[in-house]
Amino acid sequence: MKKVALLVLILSFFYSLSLNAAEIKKKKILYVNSYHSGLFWSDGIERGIKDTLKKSKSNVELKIIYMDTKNNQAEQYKKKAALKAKNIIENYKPDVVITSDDNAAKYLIVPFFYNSSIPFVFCGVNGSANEYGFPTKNVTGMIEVQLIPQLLSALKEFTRGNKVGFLKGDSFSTKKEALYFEKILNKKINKRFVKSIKEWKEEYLTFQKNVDVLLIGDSVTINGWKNSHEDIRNFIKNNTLIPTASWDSTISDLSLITYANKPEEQGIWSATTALEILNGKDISKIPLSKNKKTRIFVNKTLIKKLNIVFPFEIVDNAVIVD
Amino acid sequence: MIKNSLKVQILGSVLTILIIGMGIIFYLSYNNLKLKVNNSQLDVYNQKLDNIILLIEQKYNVLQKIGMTEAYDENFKKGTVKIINKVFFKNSKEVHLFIINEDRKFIFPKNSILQEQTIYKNKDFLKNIEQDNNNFTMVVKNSEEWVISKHFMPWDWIVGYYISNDVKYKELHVFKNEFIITSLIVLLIISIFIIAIVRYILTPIIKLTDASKEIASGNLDFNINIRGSHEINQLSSNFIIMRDKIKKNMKQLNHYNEELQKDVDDRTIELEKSYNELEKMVNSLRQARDKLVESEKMASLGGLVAGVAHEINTPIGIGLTGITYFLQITEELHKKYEANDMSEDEFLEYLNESKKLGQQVNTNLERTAQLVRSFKQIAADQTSEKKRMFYLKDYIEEVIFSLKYITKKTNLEININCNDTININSYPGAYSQIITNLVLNSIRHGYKNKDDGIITITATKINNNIELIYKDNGTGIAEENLSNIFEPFFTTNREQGGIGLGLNVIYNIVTSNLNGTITCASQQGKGVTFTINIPIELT
Repeated sequence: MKKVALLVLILSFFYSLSLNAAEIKKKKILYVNSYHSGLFWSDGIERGIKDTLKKSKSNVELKIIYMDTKNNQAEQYKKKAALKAKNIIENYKPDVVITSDDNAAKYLIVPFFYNSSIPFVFCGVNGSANEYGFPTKNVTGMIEVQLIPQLLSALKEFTRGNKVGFLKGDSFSTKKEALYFEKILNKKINKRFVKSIKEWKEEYLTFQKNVDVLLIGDSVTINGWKNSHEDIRNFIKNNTLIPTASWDSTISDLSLITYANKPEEQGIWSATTALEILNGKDISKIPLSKNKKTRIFVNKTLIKKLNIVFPFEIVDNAVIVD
Repeated sequence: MIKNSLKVQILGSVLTILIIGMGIIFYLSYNNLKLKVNNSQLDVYNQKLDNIILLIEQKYNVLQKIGMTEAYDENFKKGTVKIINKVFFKNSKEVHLFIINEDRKFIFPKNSILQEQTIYKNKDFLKNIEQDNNNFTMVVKNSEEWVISKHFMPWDWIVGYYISNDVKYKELHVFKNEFIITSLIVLLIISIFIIAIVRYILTPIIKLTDASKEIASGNLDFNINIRGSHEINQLSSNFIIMRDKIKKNMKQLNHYNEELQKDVDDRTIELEKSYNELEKMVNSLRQARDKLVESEKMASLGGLVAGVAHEINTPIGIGLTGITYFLQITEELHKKYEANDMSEDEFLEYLNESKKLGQQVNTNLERTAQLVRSFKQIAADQTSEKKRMFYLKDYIEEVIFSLKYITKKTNLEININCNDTININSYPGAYSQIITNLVLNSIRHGYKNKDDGIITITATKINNNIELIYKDNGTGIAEENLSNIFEPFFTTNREQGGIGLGLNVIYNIVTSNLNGTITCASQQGKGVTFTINIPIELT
């Protein structure tokens, strides 16, 4: 009888130890990046996540996987990368999953984890998440919006009128983006989606005469765009007559002023939200958020050419580029 | 009183040391802290100014980067001031940040009229402010203001702070107040501790003091029950031992006292008895001494009589022989006459012989008569104390003559030096006794072992005194005996029958009878000199 009691006592002791061990077990966060490491945007988000987790001093394990859909834009690849990510999630069993950009939302969350028990925090989804049906009971996140109204407002005193032009390489997302701009500006804008550099230059020249301010985007869908960067920069230097603006930091040297989103802001918000969820906050009660910070670039060549004197606050907060 | 005094002394001493120590610590700490505060404040505000200058420099660099300096200059300067205002301005009435532009106008804070009126117009401020990295103090409205500023050369701006010294040294004031309060508390606590410790230490000591008072007052049964530190316990224990010892000793002492008292009483009775006997003995001795003195006087007189007898013996003997012979020849002649056998020649021879014998008898009888007269006078003088007029030299000579029966047995030469005319009215017997005793003293002592000698008696009238110097060249008196020679019964010649009263008699005659003085000088082997001074006129 005594032996039985002793055995029960020992078992109870080890059981309590195992419970304690479970309690002190590290929480796991999996970060699924739609793109690849080395990309300015991706690296910024990742930096934001890591810094936030580090500062929180939480006992959290972070695992990162890359879907690499920037370099591989084929539909099949994206689906395959998503499936691979799904398997990793099922094996790794994270407590929270963070995703960045549209492809992870579209190819991973929506098909495999919509309304699942695993909480998902997305970021970098352009414009709106309505098309993915977010938020749901297990998904919330930060939508990436371009601060176009603020950008145009900064240029208002330097423009003749309020006609806005839009010029960017032709693609589905570009068109979606242009429509989104019209929506947030609540006005029609003169849009051009071009497929070649030549066409881009022609439209650029046309816009100098037809609009008062021109929005230009990073036209990576145009063949040879990256290689023609210097050529385009010289073209712009010689032919710009109206204020131009951009929201992509990659072409800040091609426009008069650029309001680029800060990828760190997306990463910081995602990691902070993930930690809140790990601490017991109900994800379904966390509303979607939008980025508010921006990184300003001003082009001193175009400033001089157009003789524009920006307010001190803009220049002081801006990166001066040639 | 003692208790308070000791307490006050200990408390006072410790507090004085503490206060002095704290004063020194305060002085050193205060100055050290002040130095540190100065350095620290300098570092802090230099750092602040560096940050502001850095910010201005950043804006300036951005402006330079843009290139459109003229176009952006005003905007940038205003914007920079705005940022400085946003980042560094604190609405403090004690710490004032200021920026002076290239036109030497206050561009920060905006409403800088007050500063312009008060600070900028200050001569010290104007003089010093142009210097880079300056750091000075100036007086504004009776208040010391510390100013520190830096120059941003590209824009020729001066950025600085002026701070009230009260604020600058706020920590110092806090330290001072805290130190004073802490010191007072420490002093208070230490005082309480000292009082408690002193009371703890003193209580047994006071009890011991009380016990000692009780013991001193004779209460040896006083209860000594004192507890304290080890040393106090030891002291108390020793005190009890001492008390008991005293008690025991007192008892023994009382016993001894009683015995002693008894002995003293017995002895007192014995002493009283002895005293009475001694008193009788002293009286007897006094009488004996008086008799001796008298007999000494009589001895000289006796000597005189013996001398007289001796002196007159010869002439009387000669006279007797002569008269006997005269009677014999007269009988023989008478027989011849009756027998008619007498011749004329025989008769003539008888007449001649009888004449010679008559002359011889006459001469000797006259001699005897002279001697008797002389001795009679001296003897009368010596035995009477009558005063009369006499010539000193003659009298001395007569005295010396009267001693001839003694002096002729010696080879002494006695010289008398005295003026013939010195005639004095005094007691000649006293002089006689003085000279007789001095001569006899010389013969008995000075020339005891010496055959030849010279005695010189010199008498001189000096003013109203007679100075009599008696000098011999005998063996003298030993120096150790000089101070005793006039004492009664002092003699170095007792074996030969000396009684030691001769010089004492002289001393008494000179000092008492003649109101004079006598001194003696002598060296062993070189004789003795007595100097006697006697007033001529005696009352």
